[in-house]
Amino acid sequence: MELQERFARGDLEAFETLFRQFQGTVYRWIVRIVRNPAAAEDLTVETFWRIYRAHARFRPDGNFGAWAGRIATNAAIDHLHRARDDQPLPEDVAKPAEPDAALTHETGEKIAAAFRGLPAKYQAAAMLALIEEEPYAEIAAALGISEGGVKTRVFRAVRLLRKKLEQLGVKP
Amino acid sequence: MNQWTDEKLREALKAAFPPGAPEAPVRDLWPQMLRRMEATGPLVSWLDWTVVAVSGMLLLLLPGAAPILFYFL
Repeated sequence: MELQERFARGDLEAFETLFRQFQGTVYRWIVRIVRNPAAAEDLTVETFWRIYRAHARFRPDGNFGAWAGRIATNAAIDHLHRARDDQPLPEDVAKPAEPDAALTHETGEKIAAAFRGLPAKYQAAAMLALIEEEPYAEIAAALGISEGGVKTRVFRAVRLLRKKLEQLGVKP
Repeated sequence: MNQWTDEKLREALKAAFPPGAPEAPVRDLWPQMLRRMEATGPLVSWLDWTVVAVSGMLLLLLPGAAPILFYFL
C-alpha cells in the first residue's frame, strides 16, 4: 500500500514518515510568516497535529505537500491573530522625521509594530508577497484563495499600514 | 518626496523584518509531536461520535432492536 494511502487510513508509521519528510518544508514556510523560530517550531507541531487529526479527509492521490502548506498557513495566521491581540500599540512619534535619513532602528521597530497590528490574514499575505517575494500563485495556493484575493489582501495591508504610519508620524 | 511609496514601504518592511531565521528546525520535532499526541489521547473521529449518537437514540426509541444493533456493532 502507498505511503499516503496508509496515512489516510491512520497508520502512525506512515504519518511519522511523512512528518520527517515534510517537517523542514512546513517549518520554513511558517517561519517566513511568523518570523520567530521558536514559535515556528511549535506551529510546525501544531500543523502536523491538525494533519493527523484530519487524516481521514486526505485523498491518498492528492498532493500532501500542498495540503500541509494550507494547514501550516492557517496555523500561522491563527498565531498572528493571537499575537496581534497581545501587541502593544507603538508610541506616538511627535518629533519630525529627518529628511533623507536612513531608516533608524527606532523607525524600524515602529514599522514592525504597526505591521504586527494589521489583521492576521493581511499580515500573512503581505509578509509572503512583499518581504519574502513569493510568487502570488504559491501564496494563493497556501491561503486557499485566488491570486486576485491575494492581491486584494496585499493592497489593503499596504493601505492600512500607510495610514498607520502617517498617524504615527513615521516618515520614510 | 516624503511619502510612503510602494517601493519605500517594501524596503522599509524588508529592513524591519530582516531574514535570519534558521532554514530548518534546530532539533528533530518528532519527539515533541509524540508528546502532543500522547497528551491528547486517542483520536475519536466525528464518524465514531455519530455512530455512538445514532446507536444511543435507537436504543432509547426501539429497545427491542438492541440484539440486532449489538450484532451489527
